[in-house]
Amino acid sequence: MKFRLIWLSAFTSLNRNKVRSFLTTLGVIIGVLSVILLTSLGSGLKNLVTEQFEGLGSNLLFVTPGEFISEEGGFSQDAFTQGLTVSKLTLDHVRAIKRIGDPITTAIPISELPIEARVGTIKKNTMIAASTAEYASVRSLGMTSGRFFNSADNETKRRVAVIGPTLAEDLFGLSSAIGQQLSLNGIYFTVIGVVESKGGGGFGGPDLDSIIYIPLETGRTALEITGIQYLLVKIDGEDELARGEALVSRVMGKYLDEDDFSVTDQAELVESIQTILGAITGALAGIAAISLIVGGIGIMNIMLVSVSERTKEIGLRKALGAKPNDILVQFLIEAAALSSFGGLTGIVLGMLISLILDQFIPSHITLSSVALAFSVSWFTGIIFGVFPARKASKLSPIEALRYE
Amino acid sequence: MKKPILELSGVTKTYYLGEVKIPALAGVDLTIREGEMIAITGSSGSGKSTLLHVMGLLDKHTDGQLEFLGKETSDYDEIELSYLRNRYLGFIFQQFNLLPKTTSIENVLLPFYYSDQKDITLARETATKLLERVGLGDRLLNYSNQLSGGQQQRVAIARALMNDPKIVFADEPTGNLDSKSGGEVTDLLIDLHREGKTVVIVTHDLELARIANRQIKMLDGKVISDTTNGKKNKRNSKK
Repeated sequence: MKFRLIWLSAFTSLNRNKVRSFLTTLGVIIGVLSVILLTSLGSGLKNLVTEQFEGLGSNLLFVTPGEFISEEGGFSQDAFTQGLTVSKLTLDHVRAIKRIGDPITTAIPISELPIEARVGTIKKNTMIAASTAEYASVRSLGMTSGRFFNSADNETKRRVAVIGPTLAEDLFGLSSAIGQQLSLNGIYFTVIGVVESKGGGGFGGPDLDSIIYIPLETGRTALEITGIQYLLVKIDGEDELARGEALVSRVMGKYLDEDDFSVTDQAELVESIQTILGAITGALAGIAAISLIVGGIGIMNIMLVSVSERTKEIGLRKALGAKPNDILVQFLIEAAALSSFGGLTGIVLGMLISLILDQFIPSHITLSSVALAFSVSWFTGIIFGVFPARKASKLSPIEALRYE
Repeated sequence: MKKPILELSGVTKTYYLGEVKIPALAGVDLTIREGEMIAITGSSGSGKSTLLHVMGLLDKHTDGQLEFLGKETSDYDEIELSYLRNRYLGFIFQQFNLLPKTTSIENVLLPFYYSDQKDITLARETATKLLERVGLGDRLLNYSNQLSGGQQQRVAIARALMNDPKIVFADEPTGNLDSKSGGEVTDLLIDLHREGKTVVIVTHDLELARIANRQIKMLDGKVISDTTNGKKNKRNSKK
């Protein structure tokens, strides 16, 4: 059988009944589209989380209220409920951890809060991080202009704010943000610094470059921030992480019940978040793959219709010398052409939608997901095409020619 | 006498409709020689179409011997039969049976695609010449559904000639045509015979049958008369 014939018959089959071909491939299009979108959202999310944690700075321990990561390796429910309600962490704990000394460099308390920042009529939803002056060094924040707040700002509860570069541009445009006022929940803060870009998108919310940093004490009085959400402890050197973790745990144990806090290092945290996100992505893609199977059944159905519609044509081809294999290959190719067409359309649509989505939530197309989606769609066509194609190839030429 | 192409002896074909046995061919002895033009006539149900299908290697006979170019074909499988049909046989059907939404030239090229010939340029030249010969030189790229019935049948004739077959089988070639188009098709068949092709026509149109020099009449699955230029042929003219 010649390539030209294969190409011709595949093309003709797609062309012969355009509406039907399109509707048939719709199942595959949707299947491939959802596989691509879900995997790219999943990997976008994974990248984001990794980026954000790496953006926090290195050699850090997290002291969180309750059990952050349960013994089974997943997130414990406590982490969420307690994190959002009552945290038993206090500034006393920060001081106690600092007193440990070597290998602990420093410890800072952090409270984060979603907030609406306003300048004139411009409004922007973002996140506040309230902490102490050491925050900049622990998080390795550099400054684009101005300065970070210092301990005096914190102790005297000055209403000053340091903002991310994206937010500075959003609120103040090209003019310098330093010395300008911005309103947080109706309370005015003076911008004293703009930090360097950290990159990374947010979960449909603020990204790292839009965060507003304010002194913790200011936040407690002006914005009614209650409690401390977590502590960051900076350790001197990666190989000291384990020792630091043990020391911090022991000190914290003196103040709180074992169940009321947990100490985790960054790598552990990132790893378990990635494991969970990976599993979620896999499960979602698996569900999406079911729609590919449904699409495949659609192709099989229409190929069966096609075989009986074209019984006479099959008979004619056989009369002219087509071998059973020629007919088999022809119908397989047609099925594969239908599914590949659907696959390609799905991939193109998936890429487009992913690009658009990426403006709002992190979405990252991976080459492997595209390759996987395409080959799965192609094989779907072949697998679901086999039955109709075999049926066609087994028709006797004369039975087929007689068929009316 | 010229070489025999097809030799049938005691060929039977039996269909089963449930339990009922239907003998479509009840022992046919027949030899077809190169260059003959044969018309097989008979009422419907006489077995003439079945005979054409069996001779055209489209259908397997139930019993008896069928030698094609001196070789017994009874044991041939589907692949070998496909090869023989493609290489040595041409078919013209009552319904034309062109591929829909396909150009004339692609329809004519179809037997080439299933052959072991490789040269597409040469094949295109041949196909073009054949279409010119049937008077459709200006319709090479027309889609089959844009052609009249007579034109479609002429494309089908060009297609039947594509691989330069030993025998052309025509099954009621004018059955679906008006008298003018039918006349054109008839003339083409006469031309083919003049050029030395072996042509076998199955028809109940006695007008068409008259163009053949050899007349075979069928009744109840048997040959009841077989004459060449009015002279009776011997039964079972096996060598």
